[in-house]
Amino acid sequence: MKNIRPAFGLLAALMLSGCGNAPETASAQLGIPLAKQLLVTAGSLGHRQSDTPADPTANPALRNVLVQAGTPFYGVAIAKVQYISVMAPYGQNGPVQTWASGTHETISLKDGILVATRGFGNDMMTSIAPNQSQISSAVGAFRRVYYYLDGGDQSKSLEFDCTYAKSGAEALTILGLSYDTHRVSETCANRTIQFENVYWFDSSNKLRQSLQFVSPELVNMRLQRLID
Amino acid sequence: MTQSFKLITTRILAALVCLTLAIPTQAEMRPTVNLSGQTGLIDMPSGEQEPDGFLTLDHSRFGPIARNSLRFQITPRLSGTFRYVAIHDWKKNFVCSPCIGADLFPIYYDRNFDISYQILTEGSYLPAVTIGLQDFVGTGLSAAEYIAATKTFDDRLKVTAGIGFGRLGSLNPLGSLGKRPPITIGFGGNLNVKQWFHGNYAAFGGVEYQATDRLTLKAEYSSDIYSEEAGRHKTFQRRSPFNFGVEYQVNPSLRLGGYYMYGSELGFNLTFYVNPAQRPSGGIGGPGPEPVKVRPSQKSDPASWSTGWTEVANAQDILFGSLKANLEGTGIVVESLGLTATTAQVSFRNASYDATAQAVGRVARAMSQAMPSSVETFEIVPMDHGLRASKVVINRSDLERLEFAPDAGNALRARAQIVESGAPLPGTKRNPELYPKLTWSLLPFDRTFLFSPANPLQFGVGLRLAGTYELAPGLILSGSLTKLVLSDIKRGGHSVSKLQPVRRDASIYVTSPGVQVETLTGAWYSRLAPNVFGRVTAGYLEQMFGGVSAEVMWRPVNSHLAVGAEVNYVAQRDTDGGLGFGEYNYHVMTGHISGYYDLPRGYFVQVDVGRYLAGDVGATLSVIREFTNGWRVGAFATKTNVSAKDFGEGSFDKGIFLQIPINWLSGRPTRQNRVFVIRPIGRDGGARLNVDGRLYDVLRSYDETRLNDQWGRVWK
Repeated sequence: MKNIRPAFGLLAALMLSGCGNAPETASAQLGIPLAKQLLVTAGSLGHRQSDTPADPTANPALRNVLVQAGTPFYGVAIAKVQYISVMAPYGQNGPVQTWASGTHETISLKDGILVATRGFGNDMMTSIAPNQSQISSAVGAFRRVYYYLDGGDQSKSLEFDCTYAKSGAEALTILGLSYDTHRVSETCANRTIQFENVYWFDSSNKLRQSLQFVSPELVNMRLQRLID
Repeated sequence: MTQSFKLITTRILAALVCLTLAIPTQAEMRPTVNLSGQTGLIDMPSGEQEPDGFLTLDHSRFGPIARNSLRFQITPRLSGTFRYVAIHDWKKNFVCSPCIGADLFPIYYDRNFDISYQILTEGSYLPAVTIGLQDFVGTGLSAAEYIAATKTFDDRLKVTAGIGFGRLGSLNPLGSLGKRPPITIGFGGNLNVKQWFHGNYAAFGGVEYQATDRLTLKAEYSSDIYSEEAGRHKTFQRRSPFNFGVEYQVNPSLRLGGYYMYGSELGFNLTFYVNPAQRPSGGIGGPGPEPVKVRPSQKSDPASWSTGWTEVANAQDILFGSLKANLEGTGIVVESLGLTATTAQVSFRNASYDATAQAVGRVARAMSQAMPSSVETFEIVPMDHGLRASKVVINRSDLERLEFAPDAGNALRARAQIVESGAPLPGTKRNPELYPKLTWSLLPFDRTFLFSPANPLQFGVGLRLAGTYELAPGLILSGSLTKLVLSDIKRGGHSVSKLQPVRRDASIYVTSPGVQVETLTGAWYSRLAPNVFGRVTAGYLEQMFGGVSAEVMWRPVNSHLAVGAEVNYVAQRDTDGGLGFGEYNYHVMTGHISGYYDLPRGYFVQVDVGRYLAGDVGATLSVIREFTNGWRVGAFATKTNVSAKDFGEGSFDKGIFLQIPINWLSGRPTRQNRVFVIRPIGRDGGARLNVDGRLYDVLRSYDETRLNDQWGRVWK
C-alpha cells in the first residue's frame, strides 16, 4: 500500500498534461478570427486574476495605445474576482451594445446601463433596467428584474425596488483626463439583498463612470468610458 | 486504522476539498448525520431528513469501530444509506477454535444498506417522525429498525426520542413484539423481512443544542448494547449508555465532530454535505459567445435581403467557410450545411459543452453572423457517432428579438421547436475536411477493486493510448491500449465455480503484465428510419470479451420512453490482454430488451430483460435520479435464474452509482463525466457485456427532456 502514494502525484500530473488531439484533451482555447485581432491587442493590456491587477485608470500611457486602435473602449473591473480588462464594441442589437475583452468576456449595455454579461460564470443573463434618463434625473422609482442561471442551469430572477438620489459632485481622473462629474446613486433592495449603484455623469451629461450590480456572486462591476 | 481506510478517507477528502466553499453558514438548526451516516444524534438516528437531493459522505471512528457512509436523500421524505464498516481488534481479545466465517479475519468488514422514510414532517406542534430500516439486506449484524421523533425548539434546541428493534433494542428492552428469528446470513443479500420490528424493543433519545452558529453540543442515551463488538469480541468496553459530543460546522459543506462514547472511547466524525443540484460555482463559466448579428430591416436595405446569392455557384462553400470561422475555437465542428433561399440546416458535433442547448445557441449565433438575410429558419441538428440525433428549429427573427428579452431562455424556448432530425435538405454539403478523421489521446486511467476482506481498497493507475478513426459519418474504427503502471491490486487465481467466471477473474486481466489491447473495434451507426437507430460493433469489445454486438433502438425525440434491443455473440478473451480466445474457450449469446423511461421531476427508470454473460436469464432494474446539471445518482439490482448458492456471497448483483459531471467542480464547460459504481460484491451472475457507445448513451443528451433541462444555456 505504501508505494501507491506517489501514484496520486503522477496521476495529477498526467491529468494536467495528457496529450492527444481528442476533444477532451484539447485545451479550451478560443480561436479568434482576424477581424477580432484588435480585441486581443486591447485585451492583453488588461489582466485577469493576477496578484496585483493593473488598474487601467492608473496608467495614463494606456490612453495612447487605445487611441491608436481607433475604436471606443470601456474599462471594466470586478473587485470581487479581481477582474480588470478593457472592452471594445462587439455587437449591436437595437439599443443594446455588446462590448468584449480580448479573452471573450462580454458586457451588454443599453445607453450605458448594464443589461447582460457573459463569460464571468455567474452572469447576468438579461435584465429589466431603467433608462439612463431616469437615472440622470434622479427621480422616481424603478423595479429592476435580473435573470440568472443557477448551478443547475435553471432560470431564476431577482427583483429589486430601486430609488434614486443625487449624491454630489466629484472630480474624476481617467487615464490622465479629468472630468467634473455629478453623482447619482441608485439604492435597490429586496427582502434579502441590498445594493447601491453609483453613476458619474460628466459635464456633457455623459455617463463617464459607473458602479453597477451584476449578480449576488460577483457583486458589482466598475465601468469606465475610457475612449469615446 | 489500516492504510486502506486512511486511503479511502484521503481520496474522499481530496475529491471534496474543492466543495468546501465559503458560503456563509446559515443560522438555522440543520439536520446533521450521526456516526453511521444517518440523519441523527451521535450513534442514534433521529426523526429528520436532509434537504432533498443532498448527498452526505461520512467517515467516523470511535474506539475500534470505523464507518464510511454514503447517504442520499432520494426524495424529500425517502433516503438511502450505504455503509462500509470496519471493526478492528476483532480477534485481539477473542479466541476461536476452529475459526470460521467472519471470525477468520483480524478486522471485521461489513456492508450495510439502510433506508428511511419520514412519515411526518415537523410542524408547529408536531415533531418530525421517521421510520427506518438499518442493514436490511446485508448480513444483518447491524440490523435494526426504529421509529424516531424529533422536535426543534426556538432554532436552538432539538429533542429526539425513539423506539428501536434489533441492535437498537438490545439495551434495557421495554418489551417484546413477537419473536425475532435469528439472523440467517446464508449468502447475504436477502431481505430480512421476518425480523423487522420483531423481538425486544428499547427506547433511545437525546438532545442537541446549537451553542453558536457553528457549534452544536449533543448528548444521547444509546439503546445499542454492542453485543458482538463489546460483548462477544471484546473490541472495546461499553461502560455507559451515554454519549456526548461537540460538532463544528466548518462551512456549509464540511462538519467535524468529537465525542466521548460509551464511557470509555473517544470518537470523531467527518461529514461532507453535497448538493448535486447546484454547481458550487453557480453558473457555468468559459468564454462568452459571439453576439447575435441583427439583419438590417428589409425596408432599409432591400438589397441585403435579395435571394440572388442562391444563384452564385460557390455560395454554399463561402457560407460554409464563414460559419466555420465563426465557430472556430468553440469545439463545435460543422458536419454539414444545407441551404434553401429561406432555410439553413447545420448539423454539427459538439465536443465542448455538457449542455447541448449551449452548443445549439452557439451554432445559432454563428448562423446569424454568416447567413444571408433571406435565411429566416435555422435548423440545427446535433450529431453524435454520425447519428442525426434531433433537430432544433429557431426563427432567426426570434433570435434577434429575444437576445436581451426578460428571461430570454424561456422566451426563446417558447418559440423554438425540438423535433425529429428528419432527412438533410436536398443539396446538403458535408464538411470536406471531416472524414476520414483520426483522433487520439494518451491519458491516465485508474482501476479500483473494493471490499476485499484482505485489502478493502485496491487501486491502480496506468496509461491508456486511445485512437478513433472515422471513415464516414457513423463508420468508426477505434481501439485502446492500456498499461498499468502503479498498482496494489492483488492478482486472484482462476475461480472455481459453477458459473463461468465472466467477471470474477477481472483482477487477473487487470494485473496482466505488459501492454494490453483493451478494445479494438469497428462500429457502424445508422438512423434506420425516423426515430429508429441501429448499431453494429465488432471486435475486441471490452477487456474480457470480444465478438459482435448489434442493437436497434426506437427513441422519439419528444417521448419520455425509449425501447431498445441488443444481441451479442461473444467469446471470453485471454487474460494476457492479447488477441486470443483460447484460455477459457467460452462463448455465449447474450442480449437484452431494454426500456428507458423519464419519470417526472428528474427520476429515471431503466429495465433490461434478457440473457447475461454467464448464460443466466433475468432482469435488471435501475432507478436513477438525474439532476439538470448532469449529476446522476442511482441504484440497480439484477435478479437472474442463478440460485443464491451458485451466485455466491451477496446472492444477486446489485449496487449504486454516481455520475458526476467534471464541470460541476471546475465550473467550466466540458462533456466529461466521472462514474463511480459501488457493488458490494462483484460476481458472475447478472453480468452484462460492456460495449462502448450503446445507442441510449450516445443519444440521451439530445432528446427534448435533456435539451429542456439545460435550455437556459442556449444564451450562454
